[in-house]
Amino acid sequence: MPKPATPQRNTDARHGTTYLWTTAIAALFALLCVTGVAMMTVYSPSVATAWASVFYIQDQMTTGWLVRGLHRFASDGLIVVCTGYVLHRILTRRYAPPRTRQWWLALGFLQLAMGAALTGALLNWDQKAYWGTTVRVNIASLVPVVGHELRTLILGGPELGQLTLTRFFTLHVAVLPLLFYLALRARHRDAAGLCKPCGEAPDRTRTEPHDGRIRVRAYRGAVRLMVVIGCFTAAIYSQYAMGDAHLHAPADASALDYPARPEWFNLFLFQWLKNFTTADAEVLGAIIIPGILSAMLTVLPWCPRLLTKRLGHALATAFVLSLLAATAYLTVTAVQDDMPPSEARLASVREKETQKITLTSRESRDLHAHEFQIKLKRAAFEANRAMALARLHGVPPEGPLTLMHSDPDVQGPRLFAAHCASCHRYDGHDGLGLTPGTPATSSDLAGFGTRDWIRAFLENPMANTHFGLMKKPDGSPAHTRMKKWTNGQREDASSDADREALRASFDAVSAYLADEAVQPGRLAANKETGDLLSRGRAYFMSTCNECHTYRGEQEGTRHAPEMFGYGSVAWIEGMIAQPDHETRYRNKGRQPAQMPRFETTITPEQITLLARWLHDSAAKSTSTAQD
Amino acid sequence: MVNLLSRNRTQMTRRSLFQWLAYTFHGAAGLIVGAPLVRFFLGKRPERKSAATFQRIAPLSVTSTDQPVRITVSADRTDAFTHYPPGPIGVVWLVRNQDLGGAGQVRCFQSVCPHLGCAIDFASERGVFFCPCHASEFAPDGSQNFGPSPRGMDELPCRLSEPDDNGERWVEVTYQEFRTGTKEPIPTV
Repeated sequence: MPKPATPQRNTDARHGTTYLWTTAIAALFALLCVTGVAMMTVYSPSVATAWASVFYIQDQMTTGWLVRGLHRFASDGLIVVCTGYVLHRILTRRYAPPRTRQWWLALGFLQLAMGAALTGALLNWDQKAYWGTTVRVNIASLVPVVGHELRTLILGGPELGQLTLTRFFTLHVAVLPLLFYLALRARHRDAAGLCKPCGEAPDRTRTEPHDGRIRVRAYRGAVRLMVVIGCFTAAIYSQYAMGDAHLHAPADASALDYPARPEWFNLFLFQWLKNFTTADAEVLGAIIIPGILSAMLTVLPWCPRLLTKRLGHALATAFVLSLLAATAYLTVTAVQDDMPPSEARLASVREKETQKITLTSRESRDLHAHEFQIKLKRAAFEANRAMALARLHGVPPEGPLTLMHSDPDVQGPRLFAAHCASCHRYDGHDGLGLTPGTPATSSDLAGFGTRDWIRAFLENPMANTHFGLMKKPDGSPAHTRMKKWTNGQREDASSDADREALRASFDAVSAYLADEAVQPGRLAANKETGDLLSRGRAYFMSTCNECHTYRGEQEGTRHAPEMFGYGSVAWIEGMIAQPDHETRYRNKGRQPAQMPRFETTITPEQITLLARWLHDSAAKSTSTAQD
Repeated sequence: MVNLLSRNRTQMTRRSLFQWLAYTFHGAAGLIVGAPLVRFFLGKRPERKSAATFQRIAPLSVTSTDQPVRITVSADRTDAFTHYPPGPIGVVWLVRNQDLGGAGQVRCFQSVCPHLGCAIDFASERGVFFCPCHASEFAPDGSQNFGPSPRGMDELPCRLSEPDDNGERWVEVTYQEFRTGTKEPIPTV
């Protein structure tokens, strides 16, 4: 007859600290269920409404951001804790028979946690979700033989769409949580069952009260409670430390410039796959090797049995630890690869590239990282813009893309990069932040039509930001007449007083023309009042009007572009549509327009978006400068 | 099951008979629900896709020899239970050759990366097509420079129309998408 104290101690030894891990898992799972069900009361899984409903939770509902944030960080936490649990089982040798099933359940927890995170990510129906899921599903389609059918099964059709969303929704809110619950329950039962061999008798057969037992229970209960509170606090603290759970711009299959990266717990796979650069190797790297490693993890419990017990344990532990180390290493390098290179380094790599010297892989990585960071900034801008638009206008029934596609701040830079940046620049870049490889051949349009822009132009029309880069077909500078005129004016001003007066006139006419860009014709009707704007207007009518028409009228005979509403949306629209129009740069004379007509190239709506962006962004830059 | 196999099969007891019957009926019940469910998830769905024919996507004047232009292709489409009026269905790149002599002076490339389906962008800084996800790089003629893509960019059938009333010629393209990760382009639909 064994002493009653012995089995008790054994039970303790068997349990150890495992219960802390499972308590944390259960706590986070409960938190996910509660916040998840709360969000289900709002979320609407359709491609037109998914993003809008998440936006509504995140931005419009009281504490919606908190509930969504808790859900998100609890999900991250669950993956971390499940990994810790797997590790704990290995390090404390709790994976071999009779605990085989427990080991599998631990692996199952981790799989389910990641599966839930991945299916949940798509529910945002934002850019990150869309492109991330596209890549993940296409990786699944690499599975030999049934890959394509598997892809169709996951997507619910030939491409990512409505049925993908509803399938992922069902998996996320019903199937995976149910499996997780069943796994938790099975683990609980197994854990209880494993105590039986210790010889512990059920309570009712005990003849004497067992104070130690009760004390242990009370102690454990207290620790469990602390773990639960700790998990909840950690989730809240993550939200505080890392900011809100992000919502990116709505999913847009036609936006090609989104810099997609996987979820953080998949970065190691992403980095790993960089080593496999042919189609056959890719199957090896994405499917076969991970498959073998997973299979090895699954059969790990038999490792000590096949070899000697000690050697087997050592090997199994080494295997899991090296997997973990490799994962950590790959994750860190994945993040490092995307870090922006220093300015000096970027300059030296660019220099090498212009000299057509083959770049090392590190150098091309630097270039890619640079582009990636710029696109990341742009994506962040679009995310904020999407939220701002949704706040301002509400999301229409067709979905949030309508907002994005009709917004000048979103589409303007894209159109500029696509159609204008082969000649023009915007603040030195292509509108989206990148610098085209071919040099600019025309003006820099950032701030076009503002006072500063016009004033700089009058100071030196042939500056590189204005007419300086424009060349006639024979290579000589184009549009030199303006330069001749300003030079002439300066030469005429002989005394200091004259020069001062000319500067004042240029200041005034710049201010006046900048006003034309905002309110065309406002000052034409006004009587002269002697302030800056009306002085500018007077100077324009007396001097500039010799060449530049105003509403088609002019004093002199030489031709230069119309100045009514110069820099306004309508003026820019006209310039984009027909640069060779009579009121712009004409198609005849000594210096005909070199810019092609865009009225046939892009739609009138696109021209308006472009013009509005150029105009509004210029106006904004002025107002911030004045503030 | 174990019981049945361990016994002498010629001697079927009443118990084993009932056990077999139970398995059979459970199986039948499972089949009644399971078979339609399998079809529910794997079966074909009614497809309403616009026939793959040449459609005008852009006037020739849009294209430039300097750099590829990206064109959003519009058509009506069906996604599950929603039929959408004409709208963006995909993006293609139009590349115009230097010489404007012969036919085929404009080539059209799918923007979906043949590797894993990210969008190929034109990296104007370097003058190459570039997929930002896994760094596949393609030359302006669509051929692969390097990177993990199993093939070059997918080229779409492309032709030029006769000049219209305004003397404008149009680029006509048959829009298609292809499977990712295969060496040869296989249309998805």
